[in-house]
Amino acid sequence: MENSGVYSLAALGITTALTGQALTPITGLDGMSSVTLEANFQYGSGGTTCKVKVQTSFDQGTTWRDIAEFDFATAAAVKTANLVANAAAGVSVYADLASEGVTQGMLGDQLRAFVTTTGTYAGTTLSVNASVR
Amino acid sequence: VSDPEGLIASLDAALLANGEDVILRRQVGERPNVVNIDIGVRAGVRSYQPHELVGDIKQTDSHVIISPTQIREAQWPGGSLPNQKVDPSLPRMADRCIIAGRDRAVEVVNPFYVNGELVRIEMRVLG
Repeated sequence: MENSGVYSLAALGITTALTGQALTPITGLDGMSSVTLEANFQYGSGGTTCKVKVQTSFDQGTTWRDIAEFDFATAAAVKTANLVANAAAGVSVYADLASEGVTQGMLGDQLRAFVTTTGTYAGTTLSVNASVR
Repeated sequence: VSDPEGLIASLDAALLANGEDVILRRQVGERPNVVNIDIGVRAGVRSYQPHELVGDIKQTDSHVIISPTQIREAQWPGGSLPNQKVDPSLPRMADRCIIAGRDRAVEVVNPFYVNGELVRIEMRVLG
């Protein structure tokens, strides 16, 4: 692919609750065959839950499909996932991720983060980086 | 009519020939949980001349010129909350600029547009 590299999908100070907040996407990832994701949650205080989904699109950003979900609460953690889409795969029924996990085998040409938090955090940051190949 | 792409290409060539590599850094969050969003850019860095030392410009400040090219290629600073009043890809006050290993504060940013397209960014950095 032409635009391989490491991209920041999210870098946020988490404070008041975010209800399904889609961040602006990284575009131009034509030919992406794999991606390694790193979600880094640095906890300060307060808050209840922080869920970040990584999504991809097959229709220029009109519709978004979940490819990974990272769940955090009130402890710092760094979580990673590696996704590939260059292996043969049969038909499967798509479903939004409802909890932490991944959906393998599908990568469009855009990536974005989708963040939902509950409670009010303080001194807390969330970053999501994607190494795209 | 000036060609924005041509102006950017000329600036890129000049910076490649005569500039240096610097790191532009945006910091998110509060200490100790600060996230750095870094991008390496080619820059023209110079000191201010004596006749330019007006207002609050100090001799220790530097004038930095960068192109939008590397910022666009990296889509820096990445995913952001939508509907922001200011284009997040423009450097801003409180960003950092690491020049020759020295961490300096971005104080003033002047973006230059031609036909609505960003073609050049000039900054004053402190320290």
